[in-house]
This record gives sequence, structure tokens and C-alpha cells, in this order.
Amino acid sequence: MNFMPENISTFGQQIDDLTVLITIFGVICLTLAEGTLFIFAVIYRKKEGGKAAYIPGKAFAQLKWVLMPLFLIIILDEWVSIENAEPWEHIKVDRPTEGIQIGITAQQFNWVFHYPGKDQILWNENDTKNPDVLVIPINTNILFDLQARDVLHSFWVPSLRLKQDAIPGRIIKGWFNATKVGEYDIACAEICGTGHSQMSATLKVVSKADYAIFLEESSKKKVTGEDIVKMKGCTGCHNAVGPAKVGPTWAGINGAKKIIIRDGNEVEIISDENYIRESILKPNAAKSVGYENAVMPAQNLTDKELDLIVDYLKSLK
Amino acid sequence: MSHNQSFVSKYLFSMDHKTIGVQYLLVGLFMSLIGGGLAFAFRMQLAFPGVDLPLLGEVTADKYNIYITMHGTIMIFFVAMPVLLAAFGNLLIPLMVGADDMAFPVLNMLSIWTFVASSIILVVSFFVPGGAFAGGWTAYPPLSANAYPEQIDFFGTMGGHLWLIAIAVEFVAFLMGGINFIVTTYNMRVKGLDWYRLPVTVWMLLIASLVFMFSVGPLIAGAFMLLFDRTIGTGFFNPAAGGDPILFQHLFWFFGHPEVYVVLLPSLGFIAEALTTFSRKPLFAYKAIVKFTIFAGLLSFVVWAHHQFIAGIDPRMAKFFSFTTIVISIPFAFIIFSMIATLFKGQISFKTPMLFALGFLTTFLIGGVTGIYLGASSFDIYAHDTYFVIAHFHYAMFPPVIFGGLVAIYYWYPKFTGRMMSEKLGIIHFIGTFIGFNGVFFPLFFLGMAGQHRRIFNFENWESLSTPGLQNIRIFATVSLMIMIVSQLPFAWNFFRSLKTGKVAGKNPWNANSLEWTVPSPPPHGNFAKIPTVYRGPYEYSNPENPDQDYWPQDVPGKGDK
Repeated sequence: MNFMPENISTFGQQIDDLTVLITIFGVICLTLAEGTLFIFAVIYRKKEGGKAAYIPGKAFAQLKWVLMPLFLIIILDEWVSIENAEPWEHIKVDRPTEGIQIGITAQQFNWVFHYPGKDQILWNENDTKNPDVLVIPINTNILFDLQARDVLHSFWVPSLRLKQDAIPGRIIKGWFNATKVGEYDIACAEICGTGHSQMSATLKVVSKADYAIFLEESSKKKVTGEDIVKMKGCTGCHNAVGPAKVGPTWAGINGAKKIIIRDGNEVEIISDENYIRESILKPNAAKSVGYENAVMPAQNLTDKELDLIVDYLKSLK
Repeated sequence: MSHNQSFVSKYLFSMDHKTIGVQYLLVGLFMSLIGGGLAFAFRMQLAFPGVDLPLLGEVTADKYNIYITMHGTIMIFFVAMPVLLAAFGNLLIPLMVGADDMAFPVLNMLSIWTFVASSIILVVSFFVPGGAFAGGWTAYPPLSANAYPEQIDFFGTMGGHLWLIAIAVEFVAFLMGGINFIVTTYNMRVKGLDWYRLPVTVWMLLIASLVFMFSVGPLIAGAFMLLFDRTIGTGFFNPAAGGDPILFQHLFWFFGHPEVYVVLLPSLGFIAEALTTFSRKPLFAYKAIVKFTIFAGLLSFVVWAHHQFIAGIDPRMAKFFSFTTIVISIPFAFIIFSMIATLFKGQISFKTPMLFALGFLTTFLIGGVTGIYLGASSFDIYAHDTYFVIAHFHYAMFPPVIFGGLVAIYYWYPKFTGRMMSEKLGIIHFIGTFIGFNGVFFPLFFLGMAGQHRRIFNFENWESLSTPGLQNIRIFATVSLMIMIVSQLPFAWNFFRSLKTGKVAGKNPWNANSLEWTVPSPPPHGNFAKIPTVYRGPYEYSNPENPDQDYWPQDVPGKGDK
């Protein structure tokens, strides 16, 4: 269908074909039904001295005029049902065995993508984690494990024709195979809180050679404070630059004058390193004015991670 | 019964089914003002992001979530249910079966006041700290439940508690109403009124009540389980405590899908009355319609998981639910085709109720056809949680609720007020509503096809969704909504003004057959001065055995009838 974004997955064409088929059926049925309705309304409008026919539709001779189109509907229904079975089976039930393993974690309000480390096993400390951008090689089966950290989310990539809800406490397995290099939108399709409207990421399909380079570089890359705030989901609510999102912006946070609410009282403070550390470790002890209703989860951070984050925040102008 | 009643017992705590029906209608119409106002607010934000609205201010992400949640809740539970089922069920069932009142008048009065209490609870929830509930009208946990060991951004304020309480209390009200509908229909039909002589409206209300009563239990349980999760720390839906968030989805949709038919069926009944009366034809295939409706009612209990195709249920389950979902289109296709066939060789007069009935048929067909798209689970992978679903849903629900509701209001207004409404204003109302409705929702199919997902208060984060072309479609939809809202003004004027100045209606202004048209308008307390006897079905229009007039009231004996 032309209204849909260009399909870039191996299975997307099956969904598009099904859509065309149903549309053809739908347009035929609608035209017939609406046309009949319109013609009846015009022809049988009230006429002076006219008399309506008595047609109760009890006998088969009369009933057949409704049963015939109904029979057509049953055949079309059945046809759609059959055409629907194959793609569903292919996309959601028969997961290929060969391919690249990738982990997807959804959290309020961003995405973190896990690549298995040298051990080739997903979900352990050897994983390479990449927030906000999912880099994958072209023409390769991507076998993903999808999970949510907090509430329901839904992994939605229109160009892939793929959507799958993520549920806390479960790992849901799925797959796809992208056929075109480029960058595509990833969205969260299930309402997940105040920041739902900002929960976006990018799917980056690259050549196999570029993918090898990407893996090489990201496994060597030193983790920075900026990486950590993305992976912990902080950037789902806070902007490093620009206007505030769900929580206050970080821009120029070091040394800024702020009005906060502590123990129910408004106090003016200078936001220094101590305040920043406190805000990370005990986020709800003192809240900025205007964000009284926002709830920030406390994070499990190592001392090193905390130092990296604080240095990063202090560097933001 | 005493006919000298005080104001309080006559208009407020009345046990008369007609007063209770009117009370339900007025509360439902009042709630529709709130539900419609919320729709206007969030559509303004979608068309003109950041717009500053009078009274409400800028629609922030939080407010947007509150508005969409409460719009859905109010329109389904506090407009569709009270107006279609409760109001017209109360007004019509006793009159159509020839009874002096409902079987249990006291229970009936309890029902309306329990419903009023639940409405008040819901309206109050807008004003508690933190605002009204914002987790979507389906209230999926864990977002709606305090379900995680670490503190998360969940909608755990008082608004959510009140939302759950309001829903649970409301269902208690409808259970009391439903038992009345069922018992009255079973036991209080007058002599000669066999099952297959009942107006289709009564059948539809009866089947809808049965479907409602058999499906609502799990949701009431689910609402309380969720309330306990939020307030006293249970873990029914908390994965960290061994609970399961998907369980709530099953409880919700086991009720939620039959609920669609609970709303649709009464409306089909009203439309059948209008189509037959204004085309002077018998209802085509009356018995088959009733049987197909019973079949659809049963089938409606095994389609619910089509709301969860991609929610993480076992994908093999989708095959069964995709099949049942596509099959349920068959009974409704039969009913709609029979309604179209009813017009064949008729004498159609385009009075306002007939216009809305025809408006229903033209638009509901689109809702039905697009249901086939979504019933196909593979297409649902793409369309789920997009605007395609929103468009389909509104094409399936708006025609029965709004067009169907207006058919009923315009058709029975003369009966219950004794006055006719203005046809001229009715036509203006119909044209504006019909054009406005299609202008709002037809473009949403295209937005959904373009991949636009739901519950987003602005689309700037997605390159593919923030194009000027898509934004123009959003503006078109919002402008159409304004047309639709403005078109309700002549209706409001017509509704209240005709009470005083409308032409006096008489007993039977439309020359219709069923028993409510044999009593004075408005019907007196106790309805029938003399208990009628029924000799035939309600759709004997233009019957050649009765050549003198083109209608044949149910209580008039024919040749050979004693």
C-alpha cells in the first residue's frame, strides 16, 4: 500500500500483499453494499399514492437475496483467513535458528540494545550495550530477545512491518531480516507513562562490513558518563541540551541557582556537585519546583559509574 | 399506585421506569459534553501542537494522557452504556411488552442512583491531586499498578483509585438494571405477545443484557485486584511478586469485547424500528435476525484475545481468535443486509430518525469491512496500536452510539414528551454530524497506514511522522471535529425548545405498530389504562390482509382474532 512507509524486511511484503487483498475485497463489498443502499434510497423514496410491497423475508425465495451476498462474504472471509495464516506463522511462530542474537530492553523512556560479548551469550556482563541506536547488518536474520524493565512497552518499526509488546518479567523472542541500508524510526507503541511520546530510537541497517567495524569499535569503546545515563534510562526524562522533558533539563546544571522543595518547603540553592549526587542517589528527597509530581526511580550504580555520571553532568553547559 | 406524588418522588427518587429512563438519558448526555470536550482538547493539540486552550491551557503530555483516558472511559461507560442500554431499555421495555412498569421498580431506582454516584466519583477524580487517571482507558498494569519493587513513574495517584471505583460501582448499577430488563421481558409480556412478536429492540436489549451480565464478572474482579495492587500491596499483576500483567488484559477484554456488542445490539434494534416505520415495510427476515444475534452474542465470548495478538500471548493462540473474529462478521453482515433489504420496494420518507438510521448503515459498513483487516492477525502486527485501530473503532462504535442514539431520541421524543421535534433543525443536525464524523475519522485510516501510533501528544520525535502532509491530515480531522461539535447546537436547541413549542404529537405520530404507540404521549404513570392483547408481530406494515391502512397495530384484532 502506498500510504505505508517503504517495506525493508523480508516478511513485510507478505503483510503488504495481504493488505492489498483485503482492500480489494473491502472495496468490492463496500461498493456493492453502499451502492445498493443508495439506489434503494433513491428509487423507493416515498411517492404520492404509492404503496410499499409486503416482503417479510421468511421464505427461502425471498431470503436468498440476502443469503447470496452473505455467502460471498463467507467465501471472502475464509479466503482472508487462509491468506492470513501463512504470514502469521512465518513472522511470529517459526523463528529461524540461524542468525545474530540481539537483546532489546525497553524502559521508561528509551531503548537499550544488547549485543552478546565474546562468549556469544546474551544478557550477561560481557554484553556490549548500545542505547538509542540499533545497528544491524543487512540481509541477516536478527534473532531478538525483547524485555521490559518497568511497564509494558511495544517495539514498533513501521518500515519492518514489525510490532511486539515487551512485558516485564518475560523475555519474548522474535526475529526480522532487513533488506535495505538506511536509518529508520523505532517507536514505543504501548502507552508507558508521561514520556511515552518521547520514547523513540533509530534502526540503522548497515552493510556486513560496516557491522563488523561497528562491533569492533563498540567492544573497545570506553564507557562514558554519557553512555551510562542513556543506558540507565535517564535520558528518557532528562535532556542534556534544550528544553525540559518529563524531568528538569541538565543544561548548565552545575552551579545553577535552583528552587527546590525539601521537606515541603521551597528553598533556593546553588546546584553543586553534592546536590547533583544527592539527586541521583535519593531523587525524591528534594525535587525541583515544577516537577513535584514526577517520580524518579533510584538507581543501582557503582561508585565508578556515579563518578562518571557526575563528571558528565558537570561538563554540560 | 398513587397519582399524587411530591416533586421528589415524581422527578428525583421516582420508581417509574420512564422517569428513570429520562434520568439515565440526561446524565448520559451531560457526560457526553465532558467526553466530547476532552476530544476537542486533544485533537486541538494534535493539529496545532502547543496551542493554548481556553480554561484548559496548554495540553502537556500529562494532560494529554488524562484526556484520552477519560475520553474513552466516559464515552464507552458513561455515555454509550447509560444512553443506549439503560435509558432506552428503561423507557421502552415495559411499554413494548405491555407492562405497567419494570419487574423490580425499587431495584430500578437503586440502579440509576448508583450510576449517578459512579458518575460523580468519576467527575470528582478530575479535581484530586495529580489529576484524573492517565494510564489509557484499558488501564493495563504495571503502568496502572504499583507493581514494581523500585519506584517507577506509574499513575498511582488518587485519580486512578477513583477511576477503578467508579467503573466497579457503575457495573453494579447496570447489573441491577440488567436483571430488571431480563425478568421484565421474560415474565411481563402481555397475552399474545409471543417471543417472535417482540419488537427487535426488546430482543436486542435482552441479548445485550445477558451478554453484559455473563461477561462483566471478570472485569469487576480485575478492577478490585488492580485496586488492591495499587493500595494494599498485593501482587496479582506484579511480575516481581509472581503475578502476571497479561492476566489483567484477559480479564479486561473478556468483558471488553462483548461490551462492543452490548452497545451495538440495542442500537441495531432502534434502527430496525426506524427503517421499518419510515419505509412502511416489514423487517426483512425478522426471525433469522434474532437467531443470528443470539449466535453473535455467544460468539462474542470467544473473540477477546484479538486485542492481544501481539501482546505476548502464545502466537499459536492467534489462529483460533483470528478465525472467530472473522466469523463474527457473518451474523452482522446478515443483519445489515437484511436492513438494506427492508428498504426494497418501500415507501421511504426521510424523517430525521430515518436519516440517522441510513447514516448508521453507510458508516457502520465501513466499520465492519475494516474489522476484517484487523481480524487478520498478520495485518494486525502492523496496525495494532496505530490510528488505523482508532479509525476502525470509531467507525464501529460511533454509528451505533451517536447515530443509533439519535435515531432513538428523534424517534421516541414525541412519545415521551408529547411534542414533535423540528424536522428542519433535525436535517441540519444530521448533515453536520454526518459530514463532521466522516471528516474526523476517515483520514485516520491513512494516518494509521502511514504508521502513526497511538497516545502520542506530538510527533516531532519521529521523522517519518512529522511531515507537513501528515500534519495537514491531522488539521483536517480537527476542523471536521469542530464542524461536528457546532452541528450539535441546533440539536440542543431543538431538544429543549420543542418541549414547549413542538407540534402536539398525539398517540402515534409515525403510524407505527408496537404497543408504546397505543398509549397517550407522554404515557401516564402505569402506562396502559387497559391491559392490551397482542395479535401479531410489530412489523406488519403494508400487509395485504389489512388493505385499509399501511400499518397494523399489534393490539388491533384482525378478522378471525378474538
